[in-house]
Amino acid sequence: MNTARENDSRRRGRAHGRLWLLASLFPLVLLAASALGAVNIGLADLWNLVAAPAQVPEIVRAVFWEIRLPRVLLAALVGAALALAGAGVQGLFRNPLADPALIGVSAGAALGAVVCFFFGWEGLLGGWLLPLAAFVGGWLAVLVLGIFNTGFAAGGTAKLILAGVALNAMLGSALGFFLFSASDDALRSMTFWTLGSCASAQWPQVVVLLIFLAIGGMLLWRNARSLDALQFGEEQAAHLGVSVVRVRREIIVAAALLVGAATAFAGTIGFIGLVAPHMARLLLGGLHRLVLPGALLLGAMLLVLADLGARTLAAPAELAVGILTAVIGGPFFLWLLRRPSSWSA
Amino acid sequence: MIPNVPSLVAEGITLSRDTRPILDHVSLAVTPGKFVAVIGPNGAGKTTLLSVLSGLLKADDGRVMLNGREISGYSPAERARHCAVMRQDNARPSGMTVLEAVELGRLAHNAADDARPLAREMLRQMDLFDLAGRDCSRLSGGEWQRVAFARTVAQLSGAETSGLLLLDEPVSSLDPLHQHQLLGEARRLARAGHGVLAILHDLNLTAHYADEVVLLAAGRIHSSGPAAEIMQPALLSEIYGCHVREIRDGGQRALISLPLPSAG
Amino acid sequence: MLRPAIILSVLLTALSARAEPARIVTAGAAVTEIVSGLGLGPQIVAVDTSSKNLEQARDKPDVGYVRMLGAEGILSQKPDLVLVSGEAGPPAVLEQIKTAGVDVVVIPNGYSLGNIDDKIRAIAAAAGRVEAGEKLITQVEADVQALRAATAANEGELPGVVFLLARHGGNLMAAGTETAAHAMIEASGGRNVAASFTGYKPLSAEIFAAATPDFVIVSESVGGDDTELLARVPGLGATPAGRQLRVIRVDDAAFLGFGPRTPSAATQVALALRQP
Repeated sequence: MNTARENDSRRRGRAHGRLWLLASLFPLVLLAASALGAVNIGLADLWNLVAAPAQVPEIVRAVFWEIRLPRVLLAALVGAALALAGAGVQGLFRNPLADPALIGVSAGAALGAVVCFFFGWEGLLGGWLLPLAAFVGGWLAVLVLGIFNTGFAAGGTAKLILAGVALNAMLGSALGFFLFSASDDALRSMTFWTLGSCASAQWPQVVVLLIFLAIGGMLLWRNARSLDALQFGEEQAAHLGVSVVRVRREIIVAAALLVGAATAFAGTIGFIGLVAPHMARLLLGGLHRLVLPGALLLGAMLLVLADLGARTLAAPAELAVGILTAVIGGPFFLWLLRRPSSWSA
Repeated sequence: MIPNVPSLVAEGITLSRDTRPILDHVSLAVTPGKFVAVIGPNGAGKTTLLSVLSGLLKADDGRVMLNGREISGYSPAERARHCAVMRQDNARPSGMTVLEAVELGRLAHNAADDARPLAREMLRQMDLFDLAGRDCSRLSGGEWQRVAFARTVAQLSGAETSGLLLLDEPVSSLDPLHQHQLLGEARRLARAGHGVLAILHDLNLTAHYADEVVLLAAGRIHSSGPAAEIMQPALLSEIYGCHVREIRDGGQRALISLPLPSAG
Repeated sequence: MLRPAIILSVLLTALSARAEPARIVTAGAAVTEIVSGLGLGPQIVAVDTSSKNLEQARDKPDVGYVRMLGAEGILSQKPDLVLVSGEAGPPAVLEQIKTAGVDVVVIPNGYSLGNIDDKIRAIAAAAGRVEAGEKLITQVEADVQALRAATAANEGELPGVVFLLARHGGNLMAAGTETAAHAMIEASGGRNVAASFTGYKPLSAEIFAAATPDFVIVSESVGGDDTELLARVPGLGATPAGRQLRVIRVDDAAFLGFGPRTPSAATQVALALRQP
């Protein structure tokens, strides 16, 4: 009798232990990423940056506080946002292979940015029009999708997914039109924006993204238990007390906020939204009170490391971080597909 | 204030889908202390009736009153505190242990502290405690059905409140022993003051455990009343179109069904 | 239209003139060419990818694609001055470099020969080599005169020209209006037959056959001999250029870059266009 009870407690304890491990690994990863870069900052200088700033050469101080640290933090926030959105969408659609792109926000954001480049408006509003256009584009796409968030009589979620597929197809063809018609200049800008990059990180962007992460994260956290109950099926979840239509709306809104903001500042970065939550589930089990923080930490660390590679592997040149996440994520995704499916429909 | 005497009353439920009538002026009541079984041929509308009773579907005509109030006036959470429903289609999650699944039965109750001990107690009562730490995806169909039942009952337990239990074919995957165990538990809950309604296919089990039987055919109530009255071979043979016989074993009575002689 | 901006930035740069820079990072082939044309070649410590093709930049570190620069990467080369062409970006990166206390001067692009002089003046002012700048401008002006002479004799209908560019995967694209190639075709005394659209577009066989170019200009970097090249574009065989195989090869950076070598590259093309 006791064995069964111990098994459950031990398993729960193990999961919590792993979460704490991730949480303690996180500041170490941030520290390592802050210490490494094209400009050499030794450990002594790193220490002095906080302890005795006057002893550090001015340029090192400028590089660390104005260039490297905001960039590392932006990468962490973008990775966290994408991973959280992915966890929410995977839980909502009861599919571990779901990606936040399903709800059309990534394509919408890309379209917003591409339109901005097309008309040459990217420099307006002190450079803030571009992220604003991307964010608005993402939101418009989600609003269109929201029209299909009706009751959950059999197949409500399936209808939503199909609507998302159609929406993505339409956005894709609109994107194609703008890409085809763009001037050479604009086309090159568009191409590099869609590859994704954390290089444009400055403190205002970091603060704005932090706010969006907090709001989106809170929305998801509020619905953590409901997401758990949804795994029994939507009707059964409703019988357990879940307001399915409301939860769907809140998860999608949260995902739109998180992905919209992340894409606005860093371009389209793939795979984090898919890979990080799945890794969290493998490590921590399926309850969202563990998966959400786990995905946040894993997503942040993944992108911080990918960005570290983007800015050091070919230094002094920059690599597109979106390529690095695909290089890491692609093989992992294939491996995931080969594993025996542990997620029942 | 919530009355301590739960009740679920349906009056004149009529529902059509795509001009096809599914339910036609169905009225019934689930009262505390009684185990009501709903039986009838496939396609009679039993599951649809349950969906309407539980507030999931809105009927075209008629109304459902939960504890004296229109059921549509309840929020899902409030409804879940008074009425626990076990559906037939119950997706099995992975990454969740049996104990965690049963704990989720307490979702609507918001008092997180008593969720785990209550869930443990439920598993003990249902003789499922050995499975507490197992991942739900690694249960057999029958084990999962029993866990789902435990979760459903967990929704109603705790404090002195009694509520309503709606079950859609709760024993379809269980072996005979566990069928008796689960339905016995359901009857015990009825006796303890809850109101229980179960859709059942097994005539024998129905005759044994139900207090009242509602016989649904082609969307209408064909007959309803005490189990002894309704569970008669002649009536059942007619409704189901096969040969239903009664067998006596000492003081107990069992119903069996056999194919019609011509079809045999 | 750009001239007032150029003059203003030159003045501002001159006002904040520092000692001659010892370490320069350049981005954009034309900018790199001009900087070394001013005699500051040895001071260039790093260049962008597009400049890597230049003789003088072959063994310098590569700071990446001009539209995707990295602040730390550039700063790791410890520059005194960063000179970048108009399309350099992202803008935030240029801001970050300035915040670190390093001068960043953006040299605006323009699709006119006069833009070359503007670029030289702006760079010379930023780098404190105004005299060398004027000398370079004189050379460029001489080349421009030679070009004018070469095209002056053109009479009657100008020869039809199409400029072909190779994209990744070997696809050939034609240059429409609002491209450097278009401006250079016109400067060389030709007529761009692909002027019905803007930017670069792949041409379909039918449209191409209707456009009837007399000459085809391609970059030196496009592989294969002329016959192979013409075979790759369907419909080209039927045009006057295809039938007579009049293909002109050019150095991309010189012909399209609007740098110091551009006028002489245009003159070569102008002379080739006058061949019957």
